[in-house]
Amino acid sequence: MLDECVDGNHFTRLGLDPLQPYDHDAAERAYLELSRALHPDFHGAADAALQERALRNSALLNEAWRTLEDDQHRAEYLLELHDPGVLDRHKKLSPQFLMEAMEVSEELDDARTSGCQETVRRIAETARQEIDERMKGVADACTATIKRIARDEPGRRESRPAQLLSPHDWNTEQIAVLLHQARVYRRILKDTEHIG
Amino acid sequence: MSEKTGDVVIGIDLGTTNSLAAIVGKDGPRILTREDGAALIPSVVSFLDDGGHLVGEEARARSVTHPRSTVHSVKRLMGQHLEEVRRREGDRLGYEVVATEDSELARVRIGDKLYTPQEISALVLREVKRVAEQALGHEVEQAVITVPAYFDDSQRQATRDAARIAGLQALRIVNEPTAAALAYGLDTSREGTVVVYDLGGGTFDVSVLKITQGVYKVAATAGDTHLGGDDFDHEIMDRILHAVRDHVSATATIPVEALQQIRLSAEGLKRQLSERQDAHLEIDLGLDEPIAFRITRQEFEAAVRPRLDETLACCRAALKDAGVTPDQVDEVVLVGGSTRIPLVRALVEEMFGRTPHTELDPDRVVALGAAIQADVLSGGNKDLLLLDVIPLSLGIETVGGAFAKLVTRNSTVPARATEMFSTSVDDQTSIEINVFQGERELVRDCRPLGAFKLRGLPGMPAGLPRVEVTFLVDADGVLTVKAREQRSELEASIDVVPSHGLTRDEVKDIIRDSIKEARSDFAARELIELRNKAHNLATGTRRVLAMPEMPFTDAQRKDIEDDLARLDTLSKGEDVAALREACDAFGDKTQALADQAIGEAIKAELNREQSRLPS
Repeated sequence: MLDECVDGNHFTRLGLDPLQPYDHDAAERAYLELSRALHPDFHGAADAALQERALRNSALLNEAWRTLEDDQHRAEYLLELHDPGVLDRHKKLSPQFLMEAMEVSEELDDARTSGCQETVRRIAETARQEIDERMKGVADACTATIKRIARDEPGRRESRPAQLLSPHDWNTEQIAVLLHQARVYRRILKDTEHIG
Repeated sequence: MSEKTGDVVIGIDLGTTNSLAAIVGKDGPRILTREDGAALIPSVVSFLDDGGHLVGEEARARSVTHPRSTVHSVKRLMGQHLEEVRRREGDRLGYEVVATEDSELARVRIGDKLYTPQEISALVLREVKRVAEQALGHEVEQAVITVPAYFDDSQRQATRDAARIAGLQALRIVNEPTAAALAYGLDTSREGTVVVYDLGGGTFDVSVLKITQGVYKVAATAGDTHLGGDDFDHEIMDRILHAVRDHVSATATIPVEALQQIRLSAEGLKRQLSERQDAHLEIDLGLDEPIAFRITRQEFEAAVRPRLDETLACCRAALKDAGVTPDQVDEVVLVGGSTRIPLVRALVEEMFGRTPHTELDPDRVVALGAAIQADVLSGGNKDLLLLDVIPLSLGIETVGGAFAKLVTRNSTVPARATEMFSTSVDDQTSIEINVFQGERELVRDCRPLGAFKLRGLPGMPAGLPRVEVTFLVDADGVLTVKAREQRSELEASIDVVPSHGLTRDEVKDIIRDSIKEARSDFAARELIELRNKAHNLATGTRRVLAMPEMPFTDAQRKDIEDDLARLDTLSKGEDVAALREACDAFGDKTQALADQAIGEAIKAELNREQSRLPS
């Protein structure tokens, strides 16, 4: 039990299929159960090396949980699993998108100065919509890819359900851009909370 | 609970005002009390002229008579720089806080000796350990010690060091509100979302916990390590001082003894105001007439309201971080002595729309929770699991003094983060990493934890070494750093220079010195016990002498009076051996006297009874 946690990725650590829709309840059950097995509290009597391992594995498990519980972090992690470095390679956002985001940001600054709560609330709502739209885009791309594979290559996923896709299966660049854009709006949303 | 006494783990609440220990026995958790039944040990240390010291109630009693050598609220000094202490406490502590040439760390100066807050805390812990050992009848070496959830890394390290110095292994540092939740959850096995509002003598914490099948997972915590009952006392103190200033010349300095008396009086008034609408005080400064001071509950509430509003802001922040709204909270628990203030209860009730739990004594609940966690660690309880969080983000300094967070606040511990570093000039063999804790964007606004210097890197062209540095926060919320150069597979060694703590060598030195001091501690305690014994002997004897039915000859009386006078003189001195001998000798002598007295008393009583009997 101690070392199962080290191999694989954050999804498999919690017994999840990376490409299925995220099941919060199943993830939480697995997380709590594994915590009981791995947590240093229950390995106090073990030798130093084992205690050290309990500490590391427990930290890794907590990292897995923290990553998966956040929609943005989970999507970014999934993408990087398939295509390491893709987020870094596609950091540059289109001038058009940046312009739009900047306008929203400036409007928020003005609302902050004038203390207009109504505008702040409206911007927060817009930011939420923009984020949701992009996260839906990511989820749709994922679902469409899996459907296509099921149709074109029957048996490929069924034989190894938790296996990752290859970067060629889908457009990871496009997803990276969506995730970067979502991040920008996340920051704006956070700023609205600081003011409100 | 473990049967082997050597493995016994106790829970200790090391508080700003009071400390106490608890243990889980066959019938559940219970407080370990002193010989006289007292549970709370005032976290006060008073140093005697002969080099010895007192801890607890006896030390507290000296706050007014010996303010310069009596240390209270040392928890507020833990892991702090002198300037931070000066800014917060002003001159209200009564004892002298200084820094040294080579360290800005706050230290306490008593006469010509310097003590770190860790050493003073260790003296308190040693007394707690002694009380626990006396209550249990065997030695105790391991403990779970609680700290405010909002304690940062250096304050946690300082607490761990204090335990080491006191001869205790701190198996776990547990957050106070989390411990309280454990104590409350024990009998009811609650499920759901619980908020713990913990306002103690010196610190405030709020924690949001989600409890599922025995797993207590902290979702978020917030707080202020310098907000508590002491601050409310200060508000009253300032008002008393204001009243005093009206009667004495504006430039007159108020003696430190009077200041400490006023501090204690302020605390007393505060307590009264929890029961009544107003409270009075007469201050006798030796002027023509005493100064009358009156404060109403309303005035007190107005004075502390801004600080209480800060606690509510913390509650909102913690709820937000936990992703919970007030109406999703199932239970609210109040912990800490300051939650006895009616306004605190009213504000918390208003915020969460429900009556908070106050069934358990707010002064004891944290120790009970610590004992429950101690039971888990010693293998006695396998059903409970505590998943706590790191209260403040941890990170490193990057280009231009920016703060790069590696482990964000409210991450469940143990937590880890890895970061790659390289060199900037050819053949560079060391890299310095500055670690900070806080939530701001620039390191200058965060708290420096220390400088980690990676040494022994192989000489390579600039940028070529790839040093993977792992930051690991353990279940105590304490950071350790490890580094490995990936190309050479070399484990880089790390020198840690703590910004707010003691180095390992300093702790070792203190432990060595404290073993020497243990002897004088023992002597100091024995002296007190002997003085008490002499006092009791004298009182008892005088009572016997005063009995009309005692048939002592004048020579006998003279002999006893002489002995009493000698005992009195010895009690005032410091000669432990002579006092012990005199007590023993006098005890033997008076034993015979006592037998005779009881005999006479019974005879007299019988005579009275018989005379009342109908003949």
